[in-house]
Amino acid sequence: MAPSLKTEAAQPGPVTPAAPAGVVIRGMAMGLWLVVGTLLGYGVLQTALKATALFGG
Amino acid sequence: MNLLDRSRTIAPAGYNRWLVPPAALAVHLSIGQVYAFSVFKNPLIDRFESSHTSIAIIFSIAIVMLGLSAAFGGKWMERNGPRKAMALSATFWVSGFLVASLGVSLGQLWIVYLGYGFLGGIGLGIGYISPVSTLIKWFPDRPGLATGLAIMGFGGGAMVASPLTARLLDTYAATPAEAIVPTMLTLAAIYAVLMTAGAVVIRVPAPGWKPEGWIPSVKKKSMQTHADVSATKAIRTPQFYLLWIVLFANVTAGIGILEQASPMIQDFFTSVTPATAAGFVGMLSLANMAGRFGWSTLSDKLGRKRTYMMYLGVGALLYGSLAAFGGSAIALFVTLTFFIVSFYGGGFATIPAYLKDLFGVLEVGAIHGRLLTAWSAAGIAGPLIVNGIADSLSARGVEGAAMYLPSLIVMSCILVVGFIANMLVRPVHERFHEVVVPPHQTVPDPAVADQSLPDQPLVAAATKES
Repeated sequence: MAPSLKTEAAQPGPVTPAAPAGVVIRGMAMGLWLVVGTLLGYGVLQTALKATALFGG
Repeated sequence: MNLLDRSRTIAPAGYNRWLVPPAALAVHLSIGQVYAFSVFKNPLIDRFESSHTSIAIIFSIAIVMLGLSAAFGGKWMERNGPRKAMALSATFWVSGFLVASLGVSLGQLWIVYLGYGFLGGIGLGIGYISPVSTLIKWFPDRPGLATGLAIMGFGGGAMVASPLTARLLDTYAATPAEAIVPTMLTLAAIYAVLMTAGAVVIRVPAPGWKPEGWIPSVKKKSMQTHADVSATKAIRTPQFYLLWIVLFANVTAGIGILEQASPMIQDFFTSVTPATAAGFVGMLSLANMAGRFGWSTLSDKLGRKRTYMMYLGVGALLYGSLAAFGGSAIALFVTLTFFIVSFYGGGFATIPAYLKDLFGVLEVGAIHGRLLTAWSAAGIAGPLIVNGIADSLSARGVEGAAMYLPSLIVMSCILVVGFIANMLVRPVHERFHEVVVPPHQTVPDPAVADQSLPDQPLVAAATKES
């Protein structure tokens, strides 16, 4: 089988960079870090509390 | 729709790549709720006055649709970018909850199948692969860490949804069965906000972007390719099917423990109460999530093939040890199962990085999607094996730990099959590689190219099959 030939332009997505992301997006991303971190912390804490029954029960 | 276009998500120069993982985690934390579906099981049985099996079908449809939509939607996702995929995933996932709550409200179980199972399942598949593929492109130097980060969120999603759902079911009405509809609507609202935020924040790197100061090693690890392989060609390679077997074996074996965790520890040790067993299940959830991040990150140092040798080889030994000595002490039983389940989670998280090593980043999301059919198959095979053997032995009057020994040995054998498949994985042959021609050149007809470029290699510098 011969390898297919492609230009970079044939790869998915255009190559033109978007306008620079503003402070808002960076702020939102950092805020989202806080939200997902809190949610993960909540999940781990709740599960760890449940798991203590294994050693305390 | 312009806002959703891939071109609108290309990051500017100097964009901090650590701003991207929360977008991936937001989606995976949302769709990871599917592993907490069991919290709805008893209330749904009460609401519909139906059997366990009728309600379990909802989850099965969702997992089958996850595999199918990931398999068929992967190429679309690669073409259209992660924001459109995340928005589509959010639409299906949230609609799934809304339609399911309508079904509960009307007392029509088939509408719940359609909502949470069919529509929600499509949201699961698209939402699962899209963030993983994006993070791999942002972390070419540490793909194991990237995939571990995203897929850890899927494990974490159940850990968040499980206590939250239980709390909501207790809060909204006198009985959990009456509280299903408001609980589902609340979850739909939470996931709509979280997934939308993820879709807004997600960014893809500009073409040719590399982490600052990172120079790809000329002499790559033997399993890593310098070239890209399209999804269409990837499924023609033996490597794809070997990795399918690897993932199938790893998931099937993990489900063997997870499916039966609570009754298993109670049957092994008569001193263990249902409350203590619930603690054991919680600990396995932590092992699952820790394995997704920890082992996958370690695979960046250890290499993907060696990491799977550990998951499958050491995993088989652990299963054998569990069968032979697991009943001797609770601490030993817990330690062995902890590592087994951490390998299960690690196997899920490391597979996209393994695919990236073998097939490159071009369509890694689409290839990952097609490989996830192994998950759907294992989701059916694992419980069938464990429950089938347990039911058969129980019917013959076998009780306690002896009821699980044959299935533990079967799981160990399945892991050995996976180990062999992993050992057979070799770098992808260069005939499957895509050829990158500089943008200023036209795309020549391959037949013409063969004649006009006799001295030029048809493929970019790449590893050869050893």
